[in-house]
Amino acid sequence: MPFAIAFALITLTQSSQLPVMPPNMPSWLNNSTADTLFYKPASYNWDINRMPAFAKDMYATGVGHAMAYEAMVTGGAPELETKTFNIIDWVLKHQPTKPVDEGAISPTFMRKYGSLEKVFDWAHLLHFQVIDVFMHPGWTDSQKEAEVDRLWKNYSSQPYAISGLPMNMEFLDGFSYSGKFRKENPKVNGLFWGYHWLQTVNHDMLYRVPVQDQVAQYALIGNRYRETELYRIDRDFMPMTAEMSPRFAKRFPQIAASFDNLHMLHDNVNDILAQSNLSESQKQDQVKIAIYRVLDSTHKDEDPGDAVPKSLHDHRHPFGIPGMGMMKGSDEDSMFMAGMGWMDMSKCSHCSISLPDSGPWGATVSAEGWTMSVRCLMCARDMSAETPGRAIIRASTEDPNRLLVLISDEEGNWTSNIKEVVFLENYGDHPECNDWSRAFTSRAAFDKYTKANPEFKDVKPLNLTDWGKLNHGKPVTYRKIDKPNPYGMKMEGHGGGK
Amino acid sequence: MKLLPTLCLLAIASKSLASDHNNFERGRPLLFDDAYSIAYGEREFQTGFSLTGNHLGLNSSLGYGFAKNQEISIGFDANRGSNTIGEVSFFQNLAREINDSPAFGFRVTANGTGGQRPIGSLRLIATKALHQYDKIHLNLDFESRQEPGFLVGYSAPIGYPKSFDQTFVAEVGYRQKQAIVGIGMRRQIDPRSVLDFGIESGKTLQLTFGYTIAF
Repeated sequence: MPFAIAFALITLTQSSQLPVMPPNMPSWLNNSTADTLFYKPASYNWDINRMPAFAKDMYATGVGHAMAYEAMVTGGAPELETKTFNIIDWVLKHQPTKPVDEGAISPTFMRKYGSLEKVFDWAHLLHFQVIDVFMHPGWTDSQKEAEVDRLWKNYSSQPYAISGLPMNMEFLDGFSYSGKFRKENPKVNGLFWGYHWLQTVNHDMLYRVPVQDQVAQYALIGNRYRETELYRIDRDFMPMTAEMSPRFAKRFPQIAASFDNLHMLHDNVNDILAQSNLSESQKQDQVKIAIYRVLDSTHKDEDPGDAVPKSLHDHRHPFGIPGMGMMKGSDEDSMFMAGMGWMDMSKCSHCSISLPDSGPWGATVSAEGWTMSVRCLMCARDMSAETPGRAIIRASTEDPNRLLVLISDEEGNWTSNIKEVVFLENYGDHPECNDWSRAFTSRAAFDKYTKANPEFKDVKPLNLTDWGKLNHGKPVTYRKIDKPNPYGMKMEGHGGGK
Repeated sequence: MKLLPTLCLLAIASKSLASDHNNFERGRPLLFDDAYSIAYGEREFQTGFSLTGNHLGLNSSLGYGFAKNQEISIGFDANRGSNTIGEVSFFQNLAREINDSPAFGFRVTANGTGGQRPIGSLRLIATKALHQYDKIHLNLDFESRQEPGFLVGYSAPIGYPKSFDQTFVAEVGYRQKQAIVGIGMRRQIDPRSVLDFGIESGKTLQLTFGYTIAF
């Protein structure tokens, strides 16, 4: 059985030897034609340009990748951290205003790795079109979600599609060549992972957020990206979609997983190209094998949760995160997150009480480059108060079609996208915090809720200013998972105060 | 056949990733093609003016990438002082550039005016990198009732690594018993659209302005 043979070969050759070419490689990998695909025609295409700062940052990510790849295949590898980094950095500070033709920037790379470009291009088109849909004015959230589902179907119809199954990242990053690029080129790798941060963090910025409320978030996110995330060289691992955009990943787990698998393919390619002891032909073969590993066709008829642990066909995922594969050291209950340490993603990041399985999902808090899910508005506010700098809270309200977006300044003063927002906060036991800490789109909605829940009939509504001044500190229910960093670096955490 | 009708004839129809400044099709703005078709599923509209002395020509075409590496297009050329010429064209990419091997493609065209016998043509195309970023594009033309001709196109992006939206083009060739020399520019103006400008010298001097949009 070819599938089993391929699996065995790839498993056995991990870590000490180069992976061996599987016998069932898709024939298109050796096609000599260009096979260029156009994006799905639609009215929303290029609506990313409605937010010019975001669009320019996204366009610049393509330039950086292409320049680095071109340098690596034209003898420029020794200058990656100096000359190439400086050129890319210049572009990142003077971004193109229009999308760039990556093939024109990296023509040598294209000639050597044309099959890889087909995979990259097709995935990048999906990436941009998902953004375009979420930024399209005039459509309801339901219409947008249905269209994103159609985009995924359209994407999956091509042989270049990357699998939407969660994959074991420790396995995919565990080959003999793995890690070489990031070790030898920490600054350029930092740029790449910075791109991945932007490419994954934007989905929760856009998903179910009214178009007019998206720009204000990017003022914060864009600054964070340009000033910090691009230049970080202390990351243990690449940013994952479900870490950066948990709400999006929960709704579109296949797309989230495919983006992570795409980014891991980028990392594999970086590492392969950085191998000075491999011939050109060996590098081309290894890139094809890396493509094979993440293709949808390689995992046909497999499902999330299917598991041959720590193998190519390990599709387990942490509990409550169907759109993310297992990470190094993680199990179904916990995983190590950059900036946060060990986390149980099925529980509130602030009070450690289980997140509800249904109904309003509570809120997320984004600060210091991370995004975490919490049970209630109080947990969101108090968790953001523990963190230096600005924060974004995205929270459910009584209206499933109206998302509350709160943005804080450096002093912890909040602004809201819903001017009439009122809060219920009747401090009590944390296991019920999502009952007594809530946001409402109007006083009328608050009154309706308190009338239907007599235990709150005497509770006064709080306006944004008064609600923002409250702080109940770290809950007694909070449980820190005390395990060492599986990547062998110093444990990171969150704390401090504004 | 005089140079102007020939140039205008070649200015219609479409090919390649025309929404991109770095892809080249005949008439936009020079006569040569590169070896790549427009993308599968892409629709592309082109229009342009050509000015030779006091002769103003208008040409437009609509192309569709109906399959991978294959496109079909229809177009017309309305040139003041001559008849309107209609055209149907099929283009196919046969190979992309791989390592040191060039890309290959071909175009088959039928065109003519009402009531006259259509003229058929076959163009064989090869595209190859010259240095790191610039490329040459060899076109061999075989037209009914004409001697074979050739064009050598040249393209080079301008502004790298500080700008990424324009490409210089040039060509020399011999077609229709005429030596041809031309230079031009393609510039991306938004994600979908490209403007082009060219000056071509054969028997007479011709200016070309064009616009391409993909959708």
